[in-house]
Order: sequence, then structure tokens, then C-alpha cells
Amino acid sequence: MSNEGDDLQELVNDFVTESREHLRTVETDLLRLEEGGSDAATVNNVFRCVHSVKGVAGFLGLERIQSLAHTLESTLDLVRKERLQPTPELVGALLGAIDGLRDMIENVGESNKVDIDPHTQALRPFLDAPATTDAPAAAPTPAATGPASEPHAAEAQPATAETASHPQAGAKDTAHGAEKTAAAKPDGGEGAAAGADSIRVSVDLLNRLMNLSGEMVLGRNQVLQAIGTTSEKPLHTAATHLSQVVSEMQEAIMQTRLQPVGNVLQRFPRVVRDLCSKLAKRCRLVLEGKEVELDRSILEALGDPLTHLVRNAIDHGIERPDARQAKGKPPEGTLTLQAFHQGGNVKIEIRDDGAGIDPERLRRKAVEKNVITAEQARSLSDRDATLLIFAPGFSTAEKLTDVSGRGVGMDVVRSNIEKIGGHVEVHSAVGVGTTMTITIPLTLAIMPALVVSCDERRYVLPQNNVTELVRIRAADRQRRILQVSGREVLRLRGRLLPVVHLRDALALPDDPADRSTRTYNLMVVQSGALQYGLVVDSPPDTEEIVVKPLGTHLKGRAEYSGSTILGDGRVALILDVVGLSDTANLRAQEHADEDVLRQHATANADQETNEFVLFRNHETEIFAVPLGLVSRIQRLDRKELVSVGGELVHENGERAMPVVALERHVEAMAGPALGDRTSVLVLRVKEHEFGLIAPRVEDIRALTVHVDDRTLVRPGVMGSFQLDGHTVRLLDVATIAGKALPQLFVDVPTTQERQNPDRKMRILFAEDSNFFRRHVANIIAEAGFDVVACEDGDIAWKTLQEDTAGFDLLVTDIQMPNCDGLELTKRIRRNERTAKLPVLALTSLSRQEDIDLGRAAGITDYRIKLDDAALIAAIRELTGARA
Amino acid sequence: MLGVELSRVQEINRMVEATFVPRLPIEVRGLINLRGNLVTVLDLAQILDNRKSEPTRNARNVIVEHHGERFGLLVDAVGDVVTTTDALEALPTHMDPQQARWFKGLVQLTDNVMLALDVDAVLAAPIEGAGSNG
Repeated sequence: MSNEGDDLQELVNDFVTESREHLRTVETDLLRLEEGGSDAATVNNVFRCVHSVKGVAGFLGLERIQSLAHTLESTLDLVRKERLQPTPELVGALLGAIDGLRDMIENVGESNKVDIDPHTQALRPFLDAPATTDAPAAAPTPAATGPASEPHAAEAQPATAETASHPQAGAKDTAHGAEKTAAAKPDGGEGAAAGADSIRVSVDLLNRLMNLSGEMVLGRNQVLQAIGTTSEKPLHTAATHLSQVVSEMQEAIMQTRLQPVGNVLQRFPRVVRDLCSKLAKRCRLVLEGKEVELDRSILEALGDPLTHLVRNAIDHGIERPDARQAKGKPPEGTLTLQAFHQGGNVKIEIRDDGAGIDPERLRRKAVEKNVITAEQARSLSDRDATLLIFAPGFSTAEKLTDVSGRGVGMDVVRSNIEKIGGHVEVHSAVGVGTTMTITIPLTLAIMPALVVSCDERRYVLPQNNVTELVRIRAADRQRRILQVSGREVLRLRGRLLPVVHLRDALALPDDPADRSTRTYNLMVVQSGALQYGLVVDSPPDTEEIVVKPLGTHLKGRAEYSGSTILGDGRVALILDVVGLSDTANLRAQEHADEDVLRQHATANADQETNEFVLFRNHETEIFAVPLGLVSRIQRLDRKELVSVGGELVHENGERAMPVVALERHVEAMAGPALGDRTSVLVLRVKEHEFGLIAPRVEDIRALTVHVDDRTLVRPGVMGSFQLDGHTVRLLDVATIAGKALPQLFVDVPTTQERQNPDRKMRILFAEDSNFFRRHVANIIAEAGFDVVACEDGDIAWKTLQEDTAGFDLLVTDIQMPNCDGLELTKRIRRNERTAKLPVLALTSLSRQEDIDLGRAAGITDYRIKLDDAALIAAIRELTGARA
Repeated sequence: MLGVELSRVQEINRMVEATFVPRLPIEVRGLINLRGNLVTVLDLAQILDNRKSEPTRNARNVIVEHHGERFGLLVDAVGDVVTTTDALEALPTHMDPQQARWFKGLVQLTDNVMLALDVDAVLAAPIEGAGSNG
């Protein structure tokens, strides 16, 4: 109990510190507003500060603070919407209210006894008559005691007098306010005195310490170099000692800026509890990884976005208990906040098991709100539709509520996170839940970077922006680099990336003749959806850098995001990947070239766009399953999994579903021990469903990949491909099913037909991708059919015409060069001899309109690529029907 | 001959070789590392005379502050510290206004006249109409 009291006191202390900071900026902003008229960013900032004070005050039960902040917010909202002009009178009233707010915050314990009427009264006239600009001028305000507002001075008198007599008066009198702040400390400052082991140090001082420690390291290096030649032993000993101390000191100074994430997370139990009671919902909050440390400034910047995401999760995610029970979920929802390290970054996941985000609803909303057109909405994939929540002006809240705020939406959350060098992703499954993942750098101050040279000068790229390095010798240039409308384009594992020369982007001189014989040192850089190859003069070195801001003369240049001092003391500019691409005019070009690029991409055999579910079983290994075979991704409760004869079975109602672990049937590293809940890919093979344990589902992506069907092929693995520098193994689901659950799939893999003495069925198979042709032909042959495989529709058509023995079935790909599957089918239907041949189309496209188009052309049936069992079943059905 | 108020000068050093930054106005010579702080270096000769100053033996970098940010001004040489008691005299009326905008006024020395540089005018970046340094 007392523990909770401590927590509460800590929350209140945090609130006081935070609010103080908010109010400090508010004051300067308001004054600037008064001077320079309406500036949207300034008003927004004031609005957000007051909004956040209001929000937290509400949770802490500080009603008076909340109420005054609310009035302020409403007034500011009118200013924000330009329905009120920031006249001196208005700003005066606002400042008066801010002072009142500050006094209450400095004396939080007593705040609920303070009379806030004078302040709300002062703001009332502005709120009541916002439409005309005269009204504000006439308004009685504490600040209007000057000669500025004569007409109603007499009327204003009572209010002014009342305010003045009140201890919290003094609109613009900041000195007075500060004095009182100091005076208020002794009675309100008990909590502050508690942490006697720590002192407050200004961040400026810490930054200076950081700078100086960097310089100290440089100085040490020079000393070590200078004495390297002498043989005086005492000097060496001293230098070694000094060197060690300097290193430790630098590390310690760095650590002064780190704080545990728990400092931010600890406010959420209360937030969740209060929200749940307000919304009549039930939710359990799980906090994990509180000890993970982050730079102080990052932590501060995270507070607001995290609060917003948590509120969203409960407001929109978690369903009411009765609704949850109706869906077969436990009445109490679970919200997990988890912080962990991953690859030099810190990730924070906000995971709920609520209703999930319905892409269809988002599409509809987005069209209603004119964020996108109806046509755009139709062409959006579900995944892209989910990203609509981040679009500016988009908020799914049905109405403005106390909980979800007013118009401070997910776009603000995203931009706040991006401001501190992070990004936010969303994964959601309808009915299963939503996971928001925030990725942030460990510290703003230090980051790993790649140092490259260009025209004998060095430049720095943040390592986060660089996905890989490619070296292309002049001899390989023709093969690797294409010319598309006069621009260079890099061919990289089936994708085509625009190429930018750093020399061009920085307008540095270059010799074209020399360029043609040079080896390209190419860095594949990425920022958001933007990706291109950047050519630099030398292969890069890695270095940890301290980011320094740019001076006024450099700020306007989009090419640079900052500067730094390298290990040898020289200055280098940090390149901005997005800015450089703008200079190189890449975005405009991208659109123009898109079609050409696509043609190149599709003309390239062995590459097909397919949708895959990517998951990790063990931390180090990634596997892919074609999305067409996955009926759903489910999180199963450990309690519902029963072990039957060494195999797991999931029991839910009367249906039991076998669940298999990957490592039992495929050469793979073992996954982690099963936790309370585990994700399972529910796969469908021949009308049967079974679960494949997928401890971490990474992504669902449409990929155009080159499948290598030689190197890593093993039982259960049909091939592999490269993705973002990782090797991904493509699972052979039918084989896994056959091995794992022979009782269910007894007739899947082999050879009944082979023992059939009668004539074998003959199947013509057209497919341009080498991988699929070999794979599918093998599968069909293994099932006991005779297969003739062709490379495209044209060849298939010729084969069909020259053939005399007669085919029983055509199995064809849709997208092929020369003559595609639709064209081939049409030719077959037009020809009397072949008109009745059944045609089975294999496709990775599964949109209904494509299917309709195919049926109209005469295709008998469709099967999704890589669903081997279904393919064989369909072949049997179609050939059997004809026999 | 130019004069700068001593109170504006933080230090004078020989760090006249700055790291070049492409695509900036022509008067920006680049950045130097001044004990862990980055300082933008401007070429005074470029601003006042439209010529590039040379890193000769006498050349110096005069570090001044402007709105909380430090700048280096490249000069051909540094002379003496003089004390004047009189107020600044007005600039000659026939002076080219394009030139006059960089100066606050005149100081009469015993055998010479010195122009008092308006540091804030020089540092109010960027100088319009100037070319690029690339």
C-alpha cells in the first residue's frame, strides 16, 4: 500500500518537473505570439504543452489544474483555428492563467483548494465571443490594467481587482512569479528532497563535458604518438595510466546521460488503471525491460508519444469485457510494454490483444476524410492501409473524447519519434491484436557511422541509413548497372535501384572519362521507403561519431544533417540521405522510371512477386512460407496446448489441431521454450489445418526474389533467397506436413499412380521461372504423371500443336514473356483440336478480378503457386474428371 | 585597415585551413574544430573585396560571437590593439552603399583612418547575390 503511495508521489514529482518545463516554453511562445502575430507552429506548441499538462493532471486527480488547463486549451484551440487573434489582451489573459497554473503546480498538494475562477473568468469572454475580433479587445483581463483597453475599463475593474487581490495574480510579472515559485518550495518540496543521492545537473554542462572528453581523447592520442619514440619508462607508464583513465572517464561521462526506460514506463500502470475504469474495460499491463537504458533527452521525448500509443491501445484496441468474451477471449485484455536492445537500437513494443486494426475501415475513413481517393484506397494493400493511421489529418476516434484528445493524432506521434532519430511500425491482425514497435537509437549524441571520401574530403553517413555495400569493378559495370532513360540503375538481387554519385549531388567536379573506368564503391542507403545506391570514392571506414548541430550558414542545406569531429580532429559533414536524393532529383525521376523499372524487373526470369510470411524460429534464422498457404496467424495459450504422443495438439472446442515445431522436421536451430502465449502459423494443406510454431513473426511482405533452389535445399526446404542481407529459407509446407502428420496426409507425397499399369496421364506445363519449372515439374512427376515442361506460352503452344499422343491437362503460369497464360488459353480455346483441354493456372496473383479475367479466357481452375498438395489434388481431379 | 571592437573578439588563432563544405555561399570557407566546438569560417576578403584570401604566414582567424554562435573571420593579418576615446565618426557620404553596409563608422588614428567593422552585418547570413563556393 505504502509502495503505491511512493509510486504516486513519484508520479506527481515527475508531473511537476515536466509541467514546469512545458510552462517555461509556453511563456516564451506566448510572448513571441504577441510580438509576431499568429505562427502555426508556435500556437501548436503552446496547445500541446497545455494539453499534456491537462492530460496528466486528469490522471493524477488534480481537478483544478485539469479544469484550468482545459479552459486554456479551449481558448488556444480557437487561436489555433484562427478564430481568435492573439491580441495583447488575449495573451495577457492567457499568461495570467498560465501563472495560475504554475502556482498550482508548484504547490501541487494544495492545488485542489485553489480558486481558479478569476482565471477562467478572464478567459470566458474570449471563449464566448470568438467570431468577432472586437470582443477580445473589450475583454476584461488582468493584463489589461494598462491604458490599452479603455472602452470597457470600468466594467473590467471588478475582475481585475478580484484577480489582483488573489495571491496568484500578476499576469506578465514573471519576476514576481519566480519569486513565489521559490517561496512555494519549502512546503511543497518534500518529494524533491527524497533523492539525496543525486543532484540535478544542467544538460548544457553535460554536453560540454562530452565535448571536452572527446577533445581529451584526441589529446591523449597525440601524447601517445609523440612519446612512442622515446624510451623513458616512467613516461610510458604514466601515459598508459593516463590513457586508461581517460577512456574510463569518457565512458562515465557518456553514462551520465543514460537513464532506465522504467522512468518513463512507471507512469503507465496508473494511466491504464484510470483509463480502464473510465471506459469500463479490463486490462492487465505488463512492463518488461524497465532496466534498458536510454539517453535522457530521448527518454523525455518518448513520454508523450508512448502515452498516446497506450491510450490508443486501450481506447481503440482492447474491447469491452463482454465483447471479448463473445469472441472467446479472456475478459481481461493484456497490454504489454516491452523495451529491449536490438542491433544497436532500443525497441519498445506496445502490444495489445485487442480488436486489431481493420484495414477496410481505415480505407473507408481515409476516403471519407479526403486523405486518399477511393481509387487509391482500392489499390492499397492491407498492410499499406494500416499505415494510414499515420497520415496527417487522420484519426479513427469516432468522436472527440477526453481520452483520445483533439486532433493531436498519430502523425504527431510519428513525427515526434522521427525527430529523435527513431521510427514507428505497426503490425496488426484483426481480432488478434496490434503491436506498435518504436525503434530508437541508444543515444542522440553518439552514433555508429560510415566515413567515406569524395574528392579527397571525408563525409559521414549514419550506419542506420546504410543497408549494404556493393563494389562493382568497371568490367562488371555493364552487367550490374543498367541505363534507364539516361540514368544509372543498379541491379541488385532482382530489384532495381537508382544510382546517385555523391560528386554530382554535392556539385563537385568529376571527369566523365575517368568515371567510366573507375570501380564503383556503392553504398545502398535507405530512409523510409526511399532506397538508392550512393557512389563514393573510397570504401567506407566505420567510426563512432558525436553529432554536432550545424551553424546558421549550413542549416538551409538539405544535403547535410549535421557535422562531427573525426578521430584525427578534423571536421566532417554528416550526409542526409533524403536531402541528397532531393538534390539528385531522385523522387521525381522515380515516378517516371517506375514503369521502365517494372518492365526490367518482370522481364527477368526466375523472379516472381509472391507474398510471404517471414518468421524466425531461432534468433539467427529466418524462414518464409507463402502467404497463400497460411489461413491465419494465431496466438495460442500454452494452457490450450496438449501433448499427445510426443506431438502437441491445440484443443479449442471440439476441433483439435496438430501443432508442430519446425526443428523437429526441418534442419533448423531449436526455437525458444514455449512461453505463456506463442504465435502459430495455421497452415492449410489439403483441407487439413495444422499449426507451425513461429515464435517471432517478422513480417508479411510481397517480395520479388530470386529463389536459389540448389544450395540450401533439404527435406522441408525448397530453396532460399536473400533479403536485406539475410538468407531466408523457403519452407516446403507439403513435405513438412507429410513428415510431421503422416496420419493426416497419408497420400500426399508419393507414388500410387506410379504403380498404376495403365497409361500415365500426360501433363503439359508452361512456366518461365527456372525455379518454379523445376520444382513443380518434379512434384507432378513424383505424383505419377508424365510432364512436358516449357519455358513460355509460345513454346507450350508449339509443343501442343506438334504433339500426337495428346495431353490430358495444361498447367500454366499466368505471367510469362512472349505469350502469357491468358493468351495461351485463348489460343487453345480457339483451336478445335485443343478446345476441350482443361487448363489449370498457377498464380501468385490472387485478386478476384484477375481470377475472373482468367475464367473468361477459358481457364478451368486456379491454384496458388507453392501449394503443392492442392496442386496435385487439382490435377487429379481435372484429369480424373476427363478419364 | 579595419577595426573590430575588442569586446567582440574571443580569440585570434592561426587555424586558417577550414574543412570545405560543398554547395554553400562563396564567402563560407568551411568549418574548423575549435576545441571540440564547430566554428563556421567566413572569408572577410570575399565579403568586402570580392576576392579570395590566401592562407599566408600572416593570415589569422578572428573568432567572434554572434547570437550565441561562434564564427571565424579570415583576415590577411592582425595589427595592433588601439584605444579610442572618441565616438565613431560617420562614414563619408560618397561611400558606395554596397560597401558602407559592412561598417559602423570611422575612427581617426594619429596617422591613419580605420573603418569600424559591423560584425553583425557581416554575419547576418547569407549574403544575397553572391555565388556558390562549388
